[in-house]
Amino acid sequence: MKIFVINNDGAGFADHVDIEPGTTVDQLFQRQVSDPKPGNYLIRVNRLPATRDQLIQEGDRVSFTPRKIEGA
Amino acid sequence: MDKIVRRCIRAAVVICDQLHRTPTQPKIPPVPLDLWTNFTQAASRTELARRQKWLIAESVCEQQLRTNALRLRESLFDFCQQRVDTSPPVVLGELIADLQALDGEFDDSSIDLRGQTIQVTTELIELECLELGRFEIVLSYDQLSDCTTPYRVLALDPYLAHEDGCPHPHVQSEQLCAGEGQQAIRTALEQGRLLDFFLLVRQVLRNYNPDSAYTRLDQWHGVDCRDCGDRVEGDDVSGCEPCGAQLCRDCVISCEDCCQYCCDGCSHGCTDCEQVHCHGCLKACRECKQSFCESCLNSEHKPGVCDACCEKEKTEACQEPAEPPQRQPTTQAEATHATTVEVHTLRVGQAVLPA
Repeated sequence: MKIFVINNDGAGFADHVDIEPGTTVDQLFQRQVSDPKPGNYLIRVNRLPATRDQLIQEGDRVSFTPRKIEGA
Repeated sequence: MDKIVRRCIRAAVVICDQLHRTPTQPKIPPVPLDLWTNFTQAASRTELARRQKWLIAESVCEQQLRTNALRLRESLFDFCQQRVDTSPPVVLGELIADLQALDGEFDDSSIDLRGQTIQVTTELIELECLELGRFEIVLSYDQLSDCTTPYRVLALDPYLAHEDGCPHPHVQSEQLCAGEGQQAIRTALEQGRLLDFFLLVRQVLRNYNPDSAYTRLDQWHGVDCRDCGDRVEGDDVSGCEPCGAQLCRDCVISCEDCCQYCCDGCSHGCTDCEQVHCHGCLKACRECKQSFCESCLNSEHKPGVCDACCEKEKTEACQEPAEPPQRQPTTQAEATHATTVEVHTLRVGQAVLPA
């Protein structure tokens, strides 16, 4: 099924990806983000806070934003 | 329809139009069709010259064909290397949804249709136990296509700012220095992901990078005097010019000669007059090696030697034993003795010589 994934780490990435039905937020995170700790990120599904074991549905919009971003 | 929703829609329409006008990276890189045309035409000319046995023309055409082939190859290589922009186009519905979601993420959010700005208010930002207050992030959505940083960060509690007006270690003159977040912020704005934009800016404000801050947090409310440890603020802070240490007014010393400010470690008293000088204005006496200022060191009689050493030399020179004076005889016996010293010995013209 197709979903929209946003990774705001580094330069930022936003695009549609295909995932298997039954994929959880945590599983998607492990696949999309190099950091192994989901706690270091703000995770939103359809612009709302999500839990790690939340199942992703067709057409969902999932975003990962790092909590720690250092300014200059 | 809800008034807030109407405002979101109106703002989103303007933003959508702005972003569609913004020149973005093409979806598919341009194909080098003109170079292909040049190459095929050069091939046709070469074939014609070969058939007609125009040897010189054939040679020239072959050279042109080779040149066009190289250019085409380079262009096709660049074409293959170019990144295809796969990000989806800006959709009005997504913009509206982002604007509506701001309320759930921030303490306060609003849209100024007349000023064409969107502003959100953060929670009270605290970095390393120092409260910096709340901040307002203001996005000027009418500048999205024209400006690289169409947003400002305003301090809502300026009384918590540093004395020089800096409200946040990474904010100066309402401009955020986003550092690691700069590229992600730019990408979010280009793609119309407004919620992500505001989240990213807020996360930069929530973090502190001591290695690259306009004002460090450990100097936010003054500094500790290096010598006495008292907290010093503002104009009461003085700096040691040789080593850069920050001092209070009581601890800073002014060199008697050059008047530069010094700390206790970079200054010393003249051995003679005891006035404090920086190390650069003290010289060692060539004799005793102790430190003296210029006026105490160069004696009239001997440059580079202190007065004490000069005096000591004079005294030692006066005390050296002189050749004893000839003593005149004072008694007859002494005089007789003096006159009966033999000059000649037994024989005239001969004298006993010591061995």
